[in-house]
Amino acid sequence: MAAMISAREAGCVVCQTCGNVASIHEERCPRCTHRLSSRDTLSEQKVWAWLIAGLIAYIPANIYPMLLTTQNFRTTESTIIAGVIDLYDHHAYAVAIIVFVASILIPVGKFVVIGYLAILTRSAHRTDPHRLLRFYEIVEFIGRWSMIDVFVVAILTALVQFDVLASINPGIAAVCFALSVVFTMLAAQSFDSRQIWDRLEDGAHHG
Amino acid sequence: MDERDLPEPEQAEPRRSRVSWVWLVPVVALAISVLVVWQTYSNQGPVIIVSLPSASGVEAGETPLRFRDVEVGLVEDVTFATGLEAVEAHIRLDSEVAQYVDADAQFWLVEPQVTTRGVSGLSTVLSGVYLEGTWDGEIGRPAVRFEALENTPLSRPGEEGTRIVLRSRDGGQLSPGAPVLYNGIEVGRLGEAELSEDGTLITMDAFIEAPHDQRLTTNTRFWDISGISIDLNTSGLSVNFESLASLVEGGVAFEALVTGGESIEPGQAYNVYTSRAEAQRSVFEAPVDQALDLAVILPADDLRLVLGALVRYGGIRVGEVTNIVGYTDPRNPDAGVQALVNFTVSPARIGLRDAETPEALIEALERRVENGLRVRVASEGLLGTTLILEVFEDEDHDDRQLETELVENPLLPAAAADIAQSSTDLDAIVSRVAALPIEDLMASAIDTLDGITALATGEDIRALPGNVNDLVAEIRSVVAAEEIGQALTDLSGAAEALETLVTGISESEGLSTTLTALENSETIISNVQTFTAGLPGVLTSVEELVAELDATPVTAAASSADRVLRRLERILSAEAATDLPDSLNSSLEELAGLLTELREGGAAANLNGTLASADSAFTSLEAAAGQVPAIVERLNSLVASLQGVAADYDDGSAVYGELRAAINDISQAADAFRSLARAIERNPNSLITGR
Repeated sequence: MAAMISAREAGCVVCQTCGNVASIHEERCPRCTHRLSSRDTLSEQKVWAWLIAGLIAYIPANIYPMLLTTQNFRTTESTIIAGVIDLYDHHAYAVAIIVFVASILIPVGKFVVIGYLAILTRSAHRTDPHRLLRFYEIVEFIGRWSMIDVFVVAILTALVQFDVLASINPGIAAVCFALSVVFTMLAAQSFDSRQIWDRLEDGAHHG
Repeated sequence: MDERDLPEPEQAEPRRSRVSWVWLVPVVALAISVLVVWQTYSNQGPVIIVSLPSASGVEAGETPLRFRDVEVGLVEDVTFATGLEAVEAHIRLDSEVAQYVDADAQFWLVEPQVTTRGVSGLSTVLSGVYLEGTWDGEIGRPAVRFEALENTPLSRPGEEGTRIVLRSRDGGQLSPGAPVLYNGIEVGRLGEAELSEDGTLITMDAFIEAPHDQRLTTNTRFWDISGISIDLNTSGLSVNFESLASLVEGGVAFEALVTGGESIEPGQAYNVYTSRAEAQRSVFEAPVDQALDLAVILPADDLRLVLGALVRYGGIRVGEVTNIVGYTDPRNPDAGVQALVNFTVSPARIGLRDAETPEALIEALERRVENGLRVRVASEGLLGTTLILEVFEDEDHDDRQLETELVENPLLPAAAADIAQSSTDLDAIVSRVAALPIEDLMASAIDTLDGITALATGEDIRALPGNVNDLVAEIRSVVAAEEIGQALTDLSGAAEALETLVTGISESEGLSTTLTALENSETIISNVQTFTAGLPGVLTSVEELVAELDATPVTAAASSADRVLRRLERILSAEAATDLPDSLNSSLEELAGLLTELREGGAAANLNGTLASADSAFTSLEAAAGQVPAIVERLNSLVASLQGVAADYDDGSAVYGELRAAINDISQAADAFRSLARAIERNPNSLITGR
């Protein structure tokens, strides 16, 4: 495999908006006049900030009730994990797994992966940059699907409204969870994937 | 590498000192979280523990605590008390009320209740049960552990009113929450009924709301209005019930049945009487204030004593019977089961005034028993059917003592019952009344009335007027008979002949003439004699006729009229009859004088015989004349009777007319007799002289 050279090493910079390759000396993209920068210097800060915000929002999302289910005059409140257990108890294994994966596995996984990437790219590392990139792409791709739980709540709320007989309302956790997902997505986006290559140690370069 | 020779790109001066604005997001999120957490904890009050007999429907995290129907806490946990004797609900109070929940706070469980008075706690059917608490607005000694009340409390702190205690013998009709009525308006409610320690009384709290509690005085009486009261008496049947609720749930009413009375303190005890009438009676029976429990053993057979029967001493009420139980005397088991009658007595009213301690009281009582204090069953009331217990001083008492060891209460010796007197008398009266032959009497009366009816409607009575008619016709024919007229004419002729004779006698000069005259006179006299001899026969037949008439039932039928007419008859007899014989006598005396003259005139001896004949003729005449008033009398009475009969019949009837005529005829006959009698009376000589 031929030695890899980064755009920065080639004296080029890619416009993040239109993909135009310009000289590293250019302040702005000659095509779309977007501000060019070879590296986002605040990326690391942003990632951590969004990540922490996401984590903060994720705590009440799990403590407070996600769903307010009113059935026969009685209102029950269920948190995310209680909802999963309920579904499991009702033998709705597929739905239980989907909700579990979307509401717990994925967000937690994202926190871990983004944190891992952020920590790893701060200092010199020997990890295969392609694998890291793959991780990053997966996280970014999957982030939007984390909203599946919020969608379920939104749809159920819209559909099941029979007043005291049966109705479902979103709890405060739904808002927190949505915020958490948004924050983690922003964290993933804030991550400048180009940094993966910046601190590669020699020898690890070519795997 | 030539790439390395490439000029280092001119990088913009990295803004390392800059801090991304994105940091604001987690900071704000953190701030909000901290704020929420802080607020939650700052609002959170202390946890109190309320122990319940069972956690029926109480759920952790679900069951709220309410105060005046506002949620002020939540059951956080439900655990068992140590020893598993109760369930403890851990309630997180809201901080704003926490300080008021002090030691006097009360808690109870609100569950749905459907009663006759309505549905309460309906919301709990759907929302589940909740705990309700009550406390006042003052901060007191704080407390953490509470015991839940079994029922909704009678009154809430701060509610104006008075709590009283009601005592009843039978609480079966009275349920908690039942109304207390005053003139039909609900002014309070009853609490839970509780049995007194000895099991003879039921006490219950009652709460009378302000301002109605002002009506409570020491003269107030309570009575049970549960169910229906049916009263059957002489004024009819009356059915009463106060309200539909009280019909099912029971209830009490109260009223000050007499004015006056002092105001009461909370906790005043009242008796609940079984009816208003009973309560009214109690007003006049002063209540027994201080009670001394006593007992007496009485023979169980025919013991008609009832619970609550009065105990009297010298006629004054001193207490009442509280309990009657079967009892076998251990000293005398052969006597079988006897009745142990427990009763209360006010010591002051039986003269045990000075004793201050119970021991002294018993001692004084012992002395009284030694002096003859006994208990017996006595009867009371108009009919003597109400039995009471009488405490009395027995004059000739035995030496039995007060027994304090045998049964729970001091046992007074019993004396023979005093129920015989009045009730025996009554029995006698009743049996005598029962023995009266009322039915026989009635039967006789009915028979008599039947007889009267049959008589009145019978043929005999109807035929009676006809008979009377015939009778009257007969009488008329008698009166109008030739013989009577002939007799009178003969009498008149005889009198004239006698007159001429006497004239001849006085004018004659020769004896022969006198003799012929005398002979003539003798024949005349014999004629008169024969007539007068016949006259009694006629008179007798008239008499018989009249007697027959008298004997007819007409007289009896017209008995009332008869009585009036008899009076008239008496008058007539006084007028016509009494004087007549005297007059006749005097006339005959004159005649006798005349004959004496004749004898002195030197008349022959035949004259004597003639005169003797004349004498006997006059005697007959005298007898006949003596009967005339009787005939007149009889005729009068006949007329009267007939008049009475006639009065009974209608004026227009033919019978009446006939009768009238008959009566007139008889009247005329009577008048003829009367005038004859008068004529003879006025001038008896005319009988002889013919003038």
